[in-house]
Order: sequence, then structure tokens, then C-alpha cells
Amino acid sequence: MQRMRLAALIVLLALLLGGCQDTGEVENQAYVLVLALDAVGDGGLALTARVPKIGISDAQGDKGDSGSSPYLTFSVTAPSWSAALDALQWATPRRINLSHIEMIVASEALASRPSFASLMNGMADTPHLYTNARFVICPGSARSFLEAEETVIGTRLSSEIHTMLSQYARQGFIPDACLADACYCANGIYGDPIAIWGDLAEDGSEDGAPISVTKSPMRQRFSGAALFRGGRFVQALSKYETRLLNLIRGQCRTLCYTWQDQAIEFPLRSSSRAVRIEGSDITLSLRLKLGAPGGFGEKELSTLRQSMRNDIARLVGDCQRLGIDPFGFAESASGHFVTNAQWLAFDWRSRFARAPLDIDIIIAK
Amino acid sequence: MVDGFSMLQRAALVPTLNDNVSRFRTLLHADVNSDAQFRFIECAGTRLCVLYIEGMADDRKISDFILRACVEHATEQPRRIDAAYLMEKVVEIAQCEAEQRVSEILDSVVTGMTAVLIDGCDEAVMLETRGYPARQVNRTTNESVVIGAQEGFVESLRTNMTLMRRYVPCSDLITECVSVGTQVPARVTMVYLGNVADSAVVDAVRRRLKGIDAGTVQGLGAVQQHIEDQPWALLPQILQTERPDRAASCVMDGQVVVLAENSPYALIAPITLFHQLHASDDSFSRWQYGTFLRLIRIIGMLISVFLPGLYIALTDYHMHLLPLSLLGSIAEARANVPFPILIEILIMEFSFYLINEAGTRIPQQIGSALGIVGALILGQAAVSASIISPILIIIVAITGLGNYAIPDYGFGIGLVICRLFIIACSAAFGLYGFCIGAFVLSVSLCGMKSFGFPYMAPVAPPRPHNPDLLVRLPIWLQKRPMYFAALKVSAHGRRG
Amino acid sequence: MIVLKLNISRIASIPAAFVGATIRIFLDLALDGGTIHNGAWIAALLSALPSIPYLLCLDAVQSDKRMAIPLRFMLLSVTALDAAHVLSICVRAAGCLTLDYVPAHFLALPLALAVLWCVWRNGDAVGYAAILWIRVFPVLLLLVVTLQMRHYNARWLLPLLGNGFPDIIRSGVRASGWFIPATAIYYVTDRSGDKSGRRPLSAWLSFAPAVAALLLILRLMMAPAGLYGLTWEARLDALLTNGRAPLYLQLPMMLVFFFSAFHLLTCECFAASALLQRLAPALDGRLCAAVVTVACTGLSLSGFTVTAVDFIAPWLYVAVAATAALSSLLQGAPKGGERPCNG
Repeated sequence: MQRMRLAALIVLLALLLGGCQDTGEVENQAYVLVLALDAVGDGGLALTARVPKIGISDAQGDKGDSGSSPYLTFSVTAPSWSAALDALQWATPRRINLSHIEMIVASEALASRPSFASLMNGMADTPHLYTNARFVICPGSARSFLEAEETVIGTRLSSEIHTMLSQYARQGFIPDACLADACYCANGIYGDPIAIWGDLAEDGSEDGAPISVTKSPMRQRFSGAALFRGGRFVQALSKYETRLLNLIRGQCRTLCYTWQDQAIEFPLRSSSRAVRIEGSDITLSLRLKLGAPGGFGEKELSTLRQSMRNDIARLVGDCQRLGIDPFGFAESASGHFVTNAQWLAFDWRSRFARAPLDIDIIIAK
Repeated sequence: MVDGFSMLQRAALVPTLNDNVSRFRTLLHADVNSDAQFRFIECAGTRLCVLYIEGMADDRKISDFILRACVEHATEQPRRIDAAYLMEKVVEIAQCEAEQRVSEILDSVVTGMTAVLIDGCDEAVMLETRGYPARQVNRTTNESVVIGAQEGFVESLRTNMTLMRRYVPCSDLITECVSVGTQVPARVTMVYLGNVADSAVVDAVRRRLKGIDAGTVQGLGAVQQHIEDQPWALLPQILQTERPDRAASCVMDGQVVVLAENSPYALIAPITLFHQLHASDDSFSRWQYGTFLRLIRIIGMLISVFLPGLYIALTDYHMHLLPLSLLGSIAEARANVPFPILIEILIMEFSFYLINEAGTRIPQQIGSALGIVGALILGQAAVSASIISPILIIIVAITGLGNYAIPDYGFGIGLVICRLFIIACSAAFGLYGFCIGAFVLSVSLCGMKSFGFPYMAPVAPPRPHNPDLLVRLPIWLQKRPMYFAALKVSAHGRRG
Repeated sequence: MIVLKLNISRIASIPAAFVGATIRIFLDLALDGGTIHNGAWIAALLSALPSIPYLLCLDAVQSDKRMAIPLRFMLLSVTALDAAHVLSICVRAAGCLTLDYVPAHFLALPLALAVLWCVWRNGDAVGYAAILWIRVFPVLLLLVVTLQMRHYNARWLLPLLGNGFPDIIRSGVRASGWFIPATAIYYVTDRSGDKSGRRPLSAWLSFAPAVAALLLILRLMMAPAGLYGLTWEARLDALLTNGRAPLYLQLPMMLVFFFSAFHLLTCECFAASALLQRLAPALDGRLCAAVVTVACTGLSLSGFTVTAVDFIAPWLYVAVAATAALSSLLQGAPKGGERPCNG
């Protein structure tokens, strides 16, 4: 009996000494939904966070009954990422929780800095920061981009963002890019990272282009991919180019291709990319097998095939000129080598820039 | 005085009737005990004394088959009667035996038998005349099934033994009686199949029953606590069942069933964890339904033990593991609740089991009011007053349902205590504490034994078994006896 | 008075040793030696080769002979040190995941108490729990793989040899050394009821590197070689979630990680306690377990284990395997006067 008492005392002591006294209740935390990063001055950083208010009923929608938004925006400026996080914690009346971020937006100016790669690494190294958040680059102010985000169809901003971006990715307008992917690619031994390209637009602002949005409650446009070289932003692709990019990367099941003012859907049957290495010369090879849509004859399919081939060649050529490989050819090429050192010594980047591209597109009925 | 009583008990009968009667009057406190009856009669010129306890013995049997038989027994001339003559030629009761020891006669009389003391003979005739009021065989109260037999054990040991005989009509069925208790002996019976049960198991049960060092044993619950391997463990190592079909099934698997007077259920040993999860209608239904319901039950058990702890761990420590939509719902539901999640859960658990306990004790006439009090007032009012969050009511309700899906009552209560342990671990250290608690539980389960057999067998350690543990495969695939049994099975599935 | 004699039956010790060996090799290659990158799974398979002769010696050495005392003492030291290291891994992992504000000793104490309790249940309980874990682990792993399937990238296994053969061989030899504390439990097995014809330990444990290799392949497909921040915490983070999967998918992986680590820790603590009792038979099993647990906890909290483990890891296999070989050879040599008579 004495042993039992001693054991119970020890266990109780262990429990009392445990960490339970400093836990944070779930309703007492500030869950950051969207994070925006802007460049400030020389090397500085402006961090803006969107946080939902806990306790406001969803029925009140985006503007509550009293006219106040159910979301709060906090913005701080600091010389570095860690300092900015610290300042944000000070500015926010609750413990900041970064584990449910839906979207991270960085301005083009910030992403073009040489130090952006280390900023991405710093973000990914932050404990409990959700690195699967969608990663967006936008021209102009990231803060303005964040503040334009609002619930349009649903009642929760988090599900709005998630559903919207998933929908766009499925359509091929944007790549399926997250912060983790960008960090992996920037620091890995293979290709280059990509991000989502976003922009703010007014209704009917596309200057009378044949295809444009004339009215939409959303000011944000997610339309394309942001290309990086070694962790630094270099160029954006249009949404049509992004579709081809997704096709080459094998990240879409159908290709919606715009040809002669028509949007045609091609189911993707198979896609493969390969790299042939002969000595110091490499040849990139891309093989695509698409299902043929109805109502197209053989002559039209042949013209379509050629048009696709040209567009893909142009896209790859542009990336080669920039010296970046967002397509994943590097991963295929690395299989030709036995060790990492041999692969790194091969200097893939410069050889990729010079490599001819062999495209084989089959549109089968 | 005590020494005198025990001396009288240890003695044997003497040939003088008056001396014997006086002895029994003393032992039965006949001067104050109004139900101890001494009836003097004559049979063929020999004086007899019929000794019984009113109410315990059946008066009609005594009148018709003993008194009348003795009095009307005619012989050509008076003769000396002894016990053998009385049993063979006079009395008309089916079960009778001669007994010389005063203690045995006394024990039998107080349980309802009748003793006939004979002048000039140092043996008494013990006659089976038990006729005390007892409950009829009825439906089970705690182990209901949809399909299957509806009979349950009753308080009468004789009736229970009869039920076992009916369900196991086999000549190898042995009902071995053991007396338990040093001051007030209780009748306990071991039931097993002689050619199936392992003799080591039977010996162990017998040894433990006989080794109970207590003055009195009030029912099988006390017996269980005396004989189980680890009385300090949270989970029982002996199964309790109200169902004779369940007990019969276990007997046929080589287990030993223990019945006792005044206990409307049976104990079964040895058992494993999986016995606690099986219900009778798993076998009565088709294998698809039996498997499905058993899996539901097992999932219910796991939910019952782990869900509240996991909820605390995730909401207090690991919010990143919850999808934001769910997290938002939880956060908004808890926005006005003044208590931490741990206190909320403890309040709800306490309330739930308070209602449970009150429901068990409450008189039937006002029992329906409990549903209104429990569900509407406590639940709804607590949520409206923001004492607890609605999500927690759902958690506790699902947990409670998972607990009630477990067929064995004792096992269910043990799991409730395990759940509290997991809740404490999770509240202290989150998922780390949850894993520590679950790990300790699993090792403790693996270290338990039931009459020498590992509690987690035949999974850990692996033993040959029928495909009837978690999933109940078709009955024609289940040819192998439990590994408890000493019986061997041939390659064709025939026992031999 | 000896109340508890620490022993374990053969049927319980083999699964415990199997679980321990698999997890220990995996932890060494994925976390402690995580710079090996793509070739880690090859190193795991390679670790089987040097470990088999050691395991054959272990099968042959009778643990109750006097010649086994040096081996027993060496096993005790190595196993206790490794148990301390595994305890510190568990504490660090708990701190990384969420309890970063809790001091390390507050995290270590409940785990130490839990392990002590489990060791007091004796070896069969530890071994049977390992059998249960062998049944449950594949289900959880299948869940993890299924939920994260679209995030695995098989091309990240290329180039095949990673940092090259020297790195693979070095890591393989190091990993084979970790067979030793993980299988020490087999050394204290009660083999009195052994029947002839049963498969020896080496046959069973050769599967351990194969399973560890499979787990490493899954891990390597989650994040590419050359990943930034090769800190231990970054490797743990990549192990539990590959960064590209939703965080709630981390839950089954965390359960797998912690339960596996606890099994390994308990197995090693039990083996060390039993070895201590074999060396000092007058001590009660409960006291031995308490001494070992307290020592491991203290060592773990001192921070000494990381450097010690790094230091001894390359030499561990050579030192202990040589001692085992010597013990088995000396054991087989008959003493003078004990030769059977010819004729």
C-alpha cells in the first residue's frame, strides 16, 4: 500500500510539473489566414496578417450586422523575417498561430531581391508555419492584394481561398505551388521553383481584349505562374502559358487550349518528359498523348498539333533563355548519374539552356 | 461458548435420539429461532425426529413423502429401523443420503434439506426438500441480444446448473461443488467439460476457490475478487455473464464456469481481452452481420477510450492538426465558455456518469423524469448558459455510446477509468502524453494474465485460433477449439 | 529477497528485438545521420551483412557462462547509453512538435516513469506489446502512405547512390552497430525451453534492415536531397510531414513515430535492466530497472548522449562483435580434464 501511495505521488508530481499550465486554449489564439510580405526600404520587410475574429457568427457574413468585418488586419515593419514575426506578435492581442495559413503573398519587388531565397528558408524554418500554404507573387503591394481578399460565395475566408485556388489549379490557370515546394526546389539539387502569379484588377480593365472580365465582385486575379531562378523571381507567365507549363509538369488531367478564339478541352492520356544525354550534349524530350475532342477533322488536328508544338517550344525556349528549369527535366536527368556529386558537377543549368527540345504530341481519337 | 459450539459441530451423531435432538436444538438456537422445526414421529415402533427449517424446506414434500410415509409404514412387528432401511423402504423422496457428521447435517438443513434423526442409529437421513421461493428463469437484464436465447441465470444454483445441463447435454459435463467461506459457507459449483478443459486450469480454479480465506463470501462478485490474478488491475480477468448460452459456449471451448447460490450470473475463466468484446449474437447472426457489428463494437471501444484524450491533445496543443474549418467551429463554440477544455471534459464526464448512476438507483416510478432532467435541463441549459460547448456534448455522447456498446459491464467501467488516465496524460503533454498513456495501457494489457494465460492471446503471444477475434469469419471455418482446451483437433476438423 | 526476476521468453524477445532493430536503424539513418540522402536505404540493407555474423554469435553464446561476462558488461553499457539517447530523441521530438516551452526534464520524467512501469511488467509484456505494434504499425503506415501518396516524388531517390559509396558504407557499418543495443534483449532471453530446429535470431532479424530500407525510401521520397537547414529538427519535420501535405496528415505519422520510439526505448531499458541483474544477481529486478531508468534519464538530460553516440557509433560494431566472437570461441573450448575419453 505504501508503494502504491509513493507511485501515485510521483505520477501526480509528474503531471503537475508538466506543461499543462501554459497551454493555449483554442479560442484564445489568432489564426493567421493570409500573410503578405512587402519590401520596405533597403532590405526591410513589411509583414501583414489577416486574422479572423473568433465569436462573430458566420451568418453575419463579410460585414457584420454592425458593419464591422469579421476579419482583422495587422501590419508591421521590420528589418528581417524573425524581427517582423516578433513585431507581429507584439501587435496582436493573442498568440499568433501560423499553422493554418491559406495563402502567402509576396510582392514582386521583394521576390526579386537576391535575399529572397534566404527569406523563404527563414519562413519555412519557422516552427509550426504551414508551409503548404499557397505561395503567390503579385505586382505592386502585397498588402493591398491581401486587403482585397474577401469572402464572395461562402462565409469563411479560409475555405473561400482554398476552394478558389483549388478550382483555378484544376483549370490549369495557376500552378499547384506552395511555399514548401518553392523552398524544396530553391534548395534542392534539381530544378527551379515556381509560384502563383496574382494581380489586382478593376472590372473591364483588360483594355478591350477579346477575352476579358467585364464584371466580377473579386478584384484579385490569379492568372499565371511566377518563375524563379535560384530563389529569386525573374518573370511571370500568362495563364495560357501556365496551362502549358502544368501540362509539361504532368499536373493537369485535361488541357484547355485556346486556339483561334476557341477554348478546346483535351483529356490528357499520358505525358512523359525525358532527357537524353550523349557525352556533354543533352536533348530534352517531351511526349504528350491527348484525347481528341469531337468535331475536329484530321487536318484541323494536325494544325492544332503544330500550334501546340510551337507554343510549347516558345515557352521552353523562353525559360531556357532565362536559364531556369521549372518543368522538371532536371529530375529526369539526374537519373543518369550515380551520385549527387556527379550530378552537381554536370552543371545542368548551363546545359539545359542550350539543349534542343524534341516534342512529340499525339492527339488520338 | 464458541468452543462448545464448535465442539458440538465437530462431533458425530450418537445412537440416542434425545441427545442428538438436544444437540441440534443448541446449534440451531431453537429457544429463540422460531423457524427451526423438530417433528417427532414413529415408524414401525421406532422414534424419529424430522428436522427442517420452515420456509427453506417444502412443507408439502415433508408432509406427503416423509411424515405420511413413515407413519403409514406398516410392519408385521415393531423392528429396529436404521438409515438404510428408511431410505430403501419408507421415504419416497428422490435424493437422499445417510450422514453422520453433525456439521454436514447442519449445513444441509440450513440450506433447505430435511434431516431425519433415528433413535438407536448414529446416522441421519438427509432428504432433498428445498422449496424456498426463487425467481423464475426470465430474460436477461444486462446482456440483451436481438437474435438468440433470451434466458438468463437466476439466484437458484440448482436452476442454473439445470440450465447448463440443458445447453450442454453431454455426459462429460462435470458440475463439481465446492464450499467457500469459513464461517458461513457458500455453495459454489465449477462446471466444465471433463474431456475438453485442461486439467491444469481446472486444478487452478479449484485450488483458488478452496483457498479463499474469508469468513463469508457474498456472491460471485466477491469470489471473483478473491480468485483473479491481478486484483489491482483496472480490467477484469474473469468474465461475468448472465447468459447460459454464453457460459455453455465457453464450457465447450475448454473454459471453466463458476456458479454460486444467490448469484444470477456466472464467472468464466480463463479469458482474454477478446472475450470481453464478443457478444452472443455475433455467432447467432450470419457472419457478415456478426463481423460488421463486432467491428462497430470495437470501434466504439476505441472511441470510448481515446476520443476525449485525443480531443484535448489536438485542441490544446496541436491545433495545426485540425482542419481550419473544424477548428473555427470549435473556437467559436468555445468563445464564451469560461472553463478550460480539461475542466469541461471532467464536468461532462462526471455529469454523464452521475446521471448513469442515478438512473440505476432511481425508483422505476420516477425513472422517466431522469431523461427529462438529464437531457433537457442539464444538457440544453448548460450549453445555453455557456458552461460547456455543444461540441463537447457530442464528444461525450459518442464516447458514452461507445462505452455502452461493450457487452461486459465490468470491462466497460474499467475502460472508463482508462479513459480518465488517457485524458490526464493528454491534458498534461498533448499527443506526447497521449502516446505515453496509450503505450502504458498496451504494455499493461500485454502483461496481464488470466489464470496463467496471457490476456492478449491469441494475438500476443500468437496462438492457433479460429478466425473469430476481430472479424468473425464463417462458422464452418471455425473448427479449432480455443487454445485453453486440452482437446486436440485432427486435420479434418474432427475432435479426438 | 528477489521479488522480480527479469526475464523474457523467446516468443516475446524476437518481436521486441525486431521492432527495436528496425526503428533504431531507421532513426540513425533518417535523423542522426541524415546527410546520407538518397543512398540511405542502401545503407540500411547493407547493415544486414555485418550484423549477421554478430547475430550468429549471439545465438551461439550461452548467456549464463562466465566467459560471457565481458560481453554482458559491454552490452549493458552500450544498451544503457543508447536508451538514454533514444530518450533524448523522444524529448527533443516532443519539444519540436509543440512543447517547446516546457523544460526537457519535465518531458523526460513522465516518459521515464512510463518506461519504468513497463519494465516492471517484465519481459513478456514488453515483447507481446511489440507483437501488437507489429500488427498495428502496417495499418497506420498504410494510412500515412495513402493520405500522402500524391506528395511522394520517386524521382527524388535519384541519383541512386546519393553522396556515394564511401558515405553509404560508412553509414551501413554505423547502422549495423545499432543492431547491438536493439537486440540485447535477445541476449537475456530464457532459452531453456528452446526446441531444436527453431529458426535462430539471425533469420528473423535479417528482415529488420529490409523494413528499415522501405521506411527510408518513403522518407526520401518526401523531400529532395540538398535540402536547406540540415538540422535535426528540420529532418524530424521533414519526416513527420513533408511540408507539402496538409498538417492534419501529420497525426498518424506522429503516432507511428512516438509509439515506435517508445517500444525501442522500453526494449533497451528492459535489456539493460536484465543485464544488470545478470551481472549482480543479488539485486531485485525492480531495483535494477529503477537504477537503469534513472541513469538513462540523467544521461539523457545531461546532453552527453549526442556526442557520446556520435563518438562510439563508428566503432560500436567492431568492438562488440569482436567481444561476442571471442566469447563464443572461448565458450566452445573445453577445459582440461573435460575431454571425453576415447575408447
